[in-house]
Amino acid sequence: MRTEREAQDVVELRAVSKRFDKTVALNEVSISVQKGECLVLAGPSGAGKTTMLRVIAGLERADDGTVMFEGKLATKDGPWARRVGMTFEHYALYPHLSVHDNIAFPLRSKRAEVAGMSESEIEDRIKQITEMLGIHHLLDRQTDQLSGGQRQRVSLARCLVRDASIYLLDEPLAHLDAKLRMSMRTEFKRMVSSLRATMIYVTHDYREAFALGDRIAVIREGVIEQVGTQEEIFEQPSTLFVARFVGNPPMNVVGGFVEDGLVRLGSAEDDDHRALGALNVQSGNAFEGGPVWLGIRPMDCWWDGSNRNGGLSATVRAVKVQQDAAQSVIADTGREVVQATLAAQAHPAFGEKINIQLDLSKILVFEQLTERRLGDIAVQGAPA
Amino acid sequence: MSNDEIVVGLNDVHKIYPTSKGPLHAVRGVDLECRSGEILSVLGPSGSGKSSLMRMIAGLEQASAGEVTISGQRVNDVPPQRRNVSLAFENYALYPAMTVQQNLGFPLKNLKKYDRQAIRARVHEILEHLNLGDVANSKPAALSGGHRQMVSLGRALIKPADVHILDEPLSHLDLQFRNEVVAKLKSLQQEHGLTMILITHDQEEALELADRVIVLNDGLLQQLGTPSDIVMRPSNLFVADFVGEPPMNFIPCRFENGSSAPLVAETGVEIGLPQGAHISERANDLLLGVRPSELFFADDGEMEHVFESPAQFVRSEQLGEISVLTVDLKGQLLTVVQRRREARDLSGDQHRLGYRPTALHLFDRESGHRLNSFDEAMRRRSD
Repeated sequence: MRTEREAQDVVELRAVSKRFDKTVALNEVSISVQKGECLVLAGPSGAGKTTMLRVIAGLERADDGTVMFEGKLATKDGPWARRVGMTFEHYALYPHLSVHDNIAFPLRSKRAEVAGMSESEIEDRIKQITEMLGIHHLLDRQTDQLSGGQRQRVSLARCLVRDASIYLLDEPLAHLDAKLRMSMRTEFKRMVSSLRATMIYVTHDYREAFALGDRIAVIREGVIEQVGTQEEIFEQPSTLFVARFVGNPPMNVVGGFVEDGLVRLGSAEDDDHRALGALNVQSGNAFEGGPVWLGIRPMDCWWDGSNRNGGLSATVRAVKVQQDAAQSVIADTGREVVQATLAAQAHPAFGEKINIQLDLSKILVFEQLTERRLGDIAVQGAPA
Repeated sequence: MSNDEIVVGLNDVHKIYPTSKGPLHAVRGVDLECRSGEILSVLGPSGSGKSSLMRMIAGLEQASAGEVTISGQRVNDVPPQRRNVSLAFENYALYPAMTVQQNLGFPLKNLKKYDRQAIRARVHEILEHLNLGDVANSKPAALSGGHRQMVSLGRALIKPADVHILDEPLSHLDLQFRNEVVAKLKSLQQEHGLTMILITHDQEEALELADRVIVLNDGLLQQLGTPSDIVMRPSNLFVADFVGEPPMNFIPCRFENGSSAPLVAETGVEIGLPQGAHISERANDLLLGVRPSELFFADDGEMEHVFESPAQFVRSEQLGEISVLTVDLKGQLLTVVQRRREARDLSGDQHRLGYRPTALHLFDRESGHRLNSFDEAMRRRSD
C-alpha cells in the first residue's frame, strides 16, 4: 500500500529546511504532491511559499532534508534535471518577441527533455494550449499590446506548454483586479481539471485556495500548519492561525478558560467571568484545564434586538453594511472586538450594550499556550 | 453628533490635465458636501478621478474650474499648508528604527506650529485615545499586529485638522485586525467629532466605515447615498455592477406590452412578478439586476416568485462561509450565492430559482438609469 502511494507522489519533501543568513525560510517542511493533484500553498507574504517552490524547482538547494522527485532522490539536482514548469508572480514576458515566440521559447531551448520535438510538434502543442486558454487569436501580437488578463494567460501558456511532471504557479492571478481575478479563477479551475496536470499553486488569498485546491497547505513562518481539504481547513482548523487565515470576516477570538468541566469567559483572575457552557470531552483528552481561546465565526453569532441572557455582552462600535446588503455589528467586549450578524429588525446604536447570541456547537477551543485546537472538546448548552 | 456644518464643499469642480495626447478631463463637474463629524467615502475604480479630487481638497492641485471651500471659506488659491486639512498617504508602514512615540510624532516634525513641547503633548493625547500608553517606548518589531495597526492609524490622524483625508486606511491591514481599527475609527469619530474623507477603490472599506458614500467613475459622480442606498438601490448600471462580489446578475429583458407585466427575458423565460407590475417610463431594452445572494432555490415551493423555467446546475465553488454556484437558465448563466449554514447539495439537478420582487433592480439598458417607478410598484405590491 505504502509503496503504491509513494509511486504516485510526484514530489515529496522530507523535513526540508532552508535558511537565508539568520532567517529560517523553511523549517522542516514535509509534504507530498500526488499525481494529478492541484495542491494550493496558502499563507501570508513572507511565509516561505516562494522559497518552497524554488526548492522544488531546484533553483534553491535545501540546507537540510530530502527532496524526492518521482520517487528518486533529487535534493542536489539542478533545475535542468527536473521536469518542472514554473510561472512567476511577475509575467516576465520577452517584450521583443511575439506571443507565439514567447510561448514557443521553452520548447526551443536546448534542454534534453524537449530537444527531440519537431517544429510541427511544437506548433501542435502551442495550438492546443492557446486554444484552451482562449488566446489563440493573439499569437501574432507583440506582448506590449496585451491587456493584463491576456498577459497573464500568455505567461501561463508559456509555463504549461512544456510537458512537465509538475507545474509550479506563483500567484498567477495576483496582479489582476478583483473581477478579472474571479473569472480567471473559474476558467483556470476548468482548465486544470481538463489537463489533469499535477501542480502546486501559491496564493495569499484563501478563497482562491478553496476554489482551486484539491488539498490546501497553510504555511506560516516556514512551517506548514495544516494540510487538508477546504472543508477540513475551514471547519476543523488545527491552529488559531489557520482559523483566522480563512474566512472573511475573520473568526472572532475571545479569551476564556476551562475549569471543572466548564468553559468560562475571561481569565481565572477576573471577578465577573461567566460560564458559557459545559465542556463535552468526546474522547480521552489530555487537556485538563487552563486558559483557552474560543473561536467562533461571525456567521455563527447574531443579535436580534432582544437582550436575552447568555452569550457575549459587548458595546456597539459600528454597524456595517455588507456587499450582499446584510448587516453586521462590530462590538467591543472590553477585551476583544467581535463581529456578529444582525437580524433585519435590529438597529443597535453606537455605545449600546448588547448580548450577542452564540451557536455554542460552533465554538472551537484552542489552548492558549500552544494555539493548537483541542480537537475532542466541544462546548455544550449553557448550564446556568 | 453631526451638526449640519459643511466642512468641505465642492461646487461644480473640474480638473483638466494637459497631456501629450490632448487635455485629460479627470474630474468633470463634481458637487460634494462633507458635513462636520461624518465619515464620507469616495469610492471608484482607478482612473475615476478620486485622487484628483483628494488632491484638490488638500490643495496639492488647483481646480481647473469650480469652487472648493473648507469651513465656508473659498480655498481655491490657498496653499496646502494653510488649509487645515490632514492627508495620510497610502504608505502606512512604520519606521522600524523609531519608537511608537517617535513614529507618531513624525508627521508633526517640520510643522511651524509644533515645537518639541507641543509635539510631545499631541503624541501623548493620541496615545491616550488609542490606548497605546503601555507601548509608547517600544519599537514596531516588538508590537503585536493589532498594536502596530493602531500606531499606523494614530500617525494618520495625529495632525489636528478640520478634515482628515485617508487614502485606503484599511486595505493594507491584516484582515484579522480590521474590525479593531473600524471600531476605533468609529469611536474617535463619535467621541471626538472627527471629520474624515476616505478615498478608496475597495467597496468593502467604503461600505463598512462610511456614513455616506460617493461613487465616482470617469470623473463623474454616479451616486451619493448611505451604504445601504448604494447596495440596495444602485442608481445606475455602473454602481450596480461595481458594488458587490460576486457581481450582480443582469438579465436582458423587456415588458411584453412596453411597460407592464409580463416581463420576458431575451432567452424567452418569463420573470414572474406581482400582479400589476409596471414602469411609468417607456423603455424597450431593459436589464434586470439581481444579486447572487438574492436568488434562492425554491424547490420546496416556499417562494412565491420564481423564474418560469427551471435552472440547470453548472458548477459550484466552496469558498468558506459561502458557496458560489453557477446555473444555466435557458442559456443565460446566473450566479447564486448560498450561505454555508443554509447550503444544500444541488449538483447535477434542475432547480426552480426564486427571488423577492423588492430585491430586483430594473435598468434602462441604453441610458443605464435605474427605473424607480418599478421599485415603487414592487414596494406597493409587497405591502
